[in-house]
Amino acid sequence: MTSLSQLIGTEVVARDTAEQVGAIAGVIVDVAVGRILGWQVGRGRRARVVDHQHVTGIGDAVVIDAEASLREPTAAEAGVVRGKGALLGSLVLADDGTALGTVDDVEVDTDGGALGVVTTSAGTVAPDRFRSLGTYALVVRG
Amino acid sequence: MSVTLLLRATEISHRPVVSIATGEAVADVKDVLYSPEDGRLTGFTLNKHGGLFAGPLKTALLLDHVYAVGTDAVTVEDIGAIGAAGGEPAPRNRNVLGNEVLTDGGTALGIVTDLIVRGGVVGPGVGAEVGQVVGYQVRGTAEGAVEQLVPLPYALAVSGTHLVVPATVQPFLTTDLADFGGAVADFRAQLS
Repeated sequence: MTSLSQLIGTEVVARDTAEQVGAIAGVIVDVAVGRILGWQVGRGRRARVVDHQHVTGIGDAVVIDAEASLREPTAAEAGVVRGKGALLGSLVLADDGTALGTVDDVEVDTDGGALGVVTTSAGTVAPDRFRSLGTYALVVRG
Repeated sequence: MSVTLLLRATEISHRPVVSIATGEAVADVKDVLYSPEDGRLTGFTLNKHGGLFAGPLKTALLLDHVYAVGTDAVTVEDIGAIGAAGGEPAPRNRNVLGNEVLTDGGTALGIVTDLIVRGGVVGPGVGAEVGQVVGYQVRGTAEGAVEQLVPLPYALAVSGTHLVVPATVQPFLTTDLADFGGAVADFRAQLS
């Protein structure tokens, strides 16, 4: 497991050209199944997304199979790219209506793409408690 | 032993209504709907989410469609919970703020300034008590009077201007919400 916050800013290199194509700026996740769907590369209007299946390795750099694997964010991803519904910094809300702090960090399995424990300003939350992630909150089982 | 969550109704107002399915705030609570005869909230009126100047929604959120009433949000399973009230008659509501609380011995305890509501996850067992109004916050009419919390019985005599409670409530008045759950339980135990 690697902490997501440490991956932010890591350079992204395309295997087919050996060119740096950007840097990791965020992660696209499906918290209901506890998995990474893709990675945000770059910020603002130049932000692109690469699906996690195109990532060949994560270490000192994030290597993707080809520069052509970078694509425009979908409508559903556009909010995350703009910072709305992003996991890091999100409010954590228990389904009983109690706020549990904000997401400081999350562990990620860079090989399998599984999400791990979320660290909040008030403690930790195991991934089996995740219910949904929206622009207002990461909702977890109370 | 679980701790009983008690909330002031004014604290629930302006809280977001959050969909558990999507993590989105689908509305904000505008106000509570209260039926004194039933001793519980029947639901909430709503504003669009997004601050004090967001407009009201025409649909109410019935308590039966709420997942939980919490300290930081009201949660629903999904946005359909709000639509579920559409087209149905408006829930019964009576505004008791400003009404005078009298004991059946004739003592005026004060003017209602807030409702004390049981929070938590709505459901069977203890969850069936969520939304129950277990007390009033009242302010005495004398100069310098402090606000006190008055435990309520399950049933309550209500008119348009007065609320009548048993005189035996007086030893159970408190100023501290943290102590109030015990005061309500003790008061109700000596009634039965």
